[in-house]
Amino acid sequence: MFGYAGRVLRIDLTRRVTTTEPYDPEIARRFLGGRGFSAYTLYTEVPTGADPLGPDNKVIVSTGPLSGTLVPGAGKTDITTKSPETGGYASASVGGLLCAELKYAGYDAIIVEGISQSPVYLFIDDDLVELRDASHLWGKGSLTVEEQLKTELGEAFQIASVGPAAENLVSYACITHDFGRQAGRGGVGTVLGAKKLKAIAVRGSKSIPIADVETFRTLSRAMFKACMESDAAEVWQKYGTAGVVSWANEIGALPTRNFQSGFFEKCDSLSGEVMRDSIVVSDKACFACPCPCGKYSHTEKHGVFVEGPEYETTALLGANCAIADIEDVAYANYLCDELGLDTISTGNCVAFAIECFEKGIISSADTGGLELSFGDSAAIFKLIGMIAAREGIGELLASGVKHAAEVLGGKAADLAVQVKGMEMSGYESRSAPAMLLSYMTCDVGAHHNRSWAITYDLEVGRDKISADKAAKVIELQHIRPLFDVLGACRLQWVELGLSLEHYAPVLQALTGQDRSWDDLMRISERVWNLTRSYWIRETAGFGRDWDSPPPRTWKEPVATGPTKGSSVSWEDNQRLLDMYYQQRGWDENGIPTPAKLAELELTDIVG
Amino acid sequence: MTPRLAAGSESRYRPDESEAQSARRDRRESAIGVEIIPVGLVKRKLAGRMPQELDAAGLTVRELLLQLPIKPELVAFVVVNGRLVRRDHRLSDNDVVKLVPAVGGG
Amino acid sequence: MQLHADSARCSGCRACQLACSLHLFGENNPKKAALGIIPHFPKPGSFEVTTCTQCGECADVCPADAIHQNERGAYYINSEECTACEACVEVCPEHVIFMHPDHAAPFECDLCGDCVDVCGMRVLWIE
Repeated sequence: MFGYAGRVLRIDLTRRVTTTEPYDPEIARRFLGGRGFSAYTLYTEVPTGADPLGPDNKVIVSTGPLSGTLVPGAGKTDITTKSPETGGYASASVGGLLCAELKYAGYDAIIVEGISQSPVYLFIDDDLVELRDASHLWGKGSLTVEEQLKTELGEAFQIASVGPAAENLVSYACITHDFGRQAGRGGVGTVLGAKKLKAIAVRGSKSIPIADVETFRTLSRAMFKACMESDAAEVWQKYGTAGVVSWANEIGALPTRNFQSGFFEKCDSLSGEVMRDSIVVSDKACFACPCPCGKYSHTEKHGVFVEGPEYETTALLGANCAIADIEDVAYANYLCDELGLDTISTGNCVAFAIECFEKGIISSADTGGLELSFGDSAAIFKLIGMIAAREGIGELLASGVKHAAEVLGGKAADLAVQVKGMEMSGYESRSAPAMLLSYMTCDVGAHHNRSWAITYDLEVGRDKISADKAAKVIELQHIRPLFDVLGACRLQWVELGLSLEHYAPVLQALTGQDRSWDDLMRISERVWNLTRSYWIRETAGFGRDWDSPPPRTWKEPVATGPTKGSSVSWEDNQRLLDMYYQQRGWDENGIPTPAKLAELELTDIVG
Repeated sequence: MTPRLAAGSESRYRPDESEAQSARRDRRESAIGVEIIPVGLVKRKLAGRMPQELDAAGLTVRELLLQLPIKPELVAFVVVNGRLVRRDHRLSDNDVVKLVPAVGGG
Repeated sequence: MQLHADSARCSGCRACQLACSLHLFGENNPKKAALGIIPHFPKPGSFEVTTCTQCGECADVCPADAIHQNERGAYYINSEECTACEACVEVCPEHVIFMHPDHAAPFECDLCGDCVDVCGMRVLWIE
């Protein structure tokens, strides 16, 4: 199959057996690859009711057909599993160079099964696949492990690893790769920790075959040219996503003090320009990307190197915790990277704990004497360590804010900013209903990257509660995840303005398979409905209630700043949901109808 | 770097900054004293609607945005002479002001 | 003429290596590229780009006289004349003559310039 490596690597950690099997062309036809392959595998291979931390759960590491090829941003790997944090579908995307190296080794995907008796790492060197003892790595931080493995094995190896947080089964532990890229959300790292798979090391020398070399070369060069000529390239190259911190604040969307507000009064010291001037040492790209959004930084104050902080981390560990010093945010970022914690969930959990402390829901008796307040960086650093180690109050927070609020009872639930058990990411949305709908309906929980609809709210009017907003969310939920299926990044399209019209032709030149853009969107819609069906299967009573936004969004108006007083009423968020379900062809409870499943050729899988 | 072409050979180079700027002259909108480059969504909204007489030198970025027929919120980055600036940054004669939305496409 | 690199600007994306392998072999494979990208992480956090300076030492050392210059003046290894002794690989001061298990003969930069066209950070130029 042109464009694919043609093989899947299956790892049985229980029996310590590794096998390869052909990549099924029928799966490729229906689900294309990347997140599509992973979703299909999750649904069909992981048994109903599997314990996310048990031997029946699987972790699927999946490249897409564009991965590793000369297409701008062809460096995205999807990592899918049953989430230990939400109990539902988890899929996190990591950049860097992992997917490219995996394809060059001759594998389109890795399926990790079972549980190892003792810590191991997966060693892949083209056809040589071994499960090697990782006892000398267990307990060490992700960045340390990467450095150590590159020294032991050679710089040519691409490394992905989990940190102590995953080993300790913190629910939102991440996987780190290339000294600072993460598959962050939903506890994908946690599952590897439970399986005692400490790291993956891969090196490959093979080529990815191209169906029509000349056409591919022409089309891919045109894509690079368009990216490089984009007037937006300069800003994204220079600042990365951190460049929008100030803007988010201006529009009242920067989460502040546990989402009490969307405006941080000290935001100026967190801006992209301040960051560039004070800590950035180099621009760092993912595979084949002409517009490196990665900012590799060094904080003199704390003496560490870190890739970041990017927008989400500055939002959740900066403004949301009221930390105003970019060097402190960088250090908090470093702690999370080394310990292996998702910065978004961590920042959200920390802010939740601080607000609970300030409101007397927890006290210093609960925190072992640690006084928590917004802006107190030293206490926050300590708390991050306690979460990773599940020590003291860290134990309560290690399962996420939804669980912590249930344990604490009372008013705590009103302070938990989450959907489906996943902490909300960096956009305060009480003044942006389409963005709120995005968070309500995102397929993994309260994450923004399936449908970043906030600019649509700005364009058509924030206050509108209208069918076109639901339509926009649905459209974005098909386009953005399509990039995860293709194995490439969306930044070239969203931020640089690269036309979507490039993608179907270049994919065809690569694979030799004739697919229109509509065909690709149909595949994306299929994947969306399949993962919705996964939630339904795994979660008793799953339906409309699970798409509820956090209570803060309808019970409490924004406290300060340009959007002070805004909220989206319960009636309005339900109206949006109604319009969304109707347009999606789902019933009023948010369940895909048999007709919709049949239309998407999912009946044989979902039933 | 200014490349020299050897006789009979071909030199492949990226244009330096000033050449890139002159190549993009047609994408600019003019405002007295200041050159404004709108990008992506901002460019689409501004197309053909730039105010004819707008003396931008001396205005803050915030003031400039209020004079343009688009919602200021749609502009995520304001880059003046290659540097990201705050909304209270005051513009000078001959500044090159790039208005970039958070969304380029989509 | 030679391919120049301002390493300080490099972000490590490897698009140049992909463009190179596409030109030399019609494949996507950075391990079949004729320029080197060496990362230095976690410290100091930079990339080093190594390119052929067209010094000609490879041609001088080749015992089979298999290394010639093309129409752009670039040294190239004629794979039919090459005996795969690897003397050129050893002698290259920049370590930019590469080997790959798929091919008996080593390969080096032929100054096609495709890498320049895909470098988003303006690291590369030919003059």
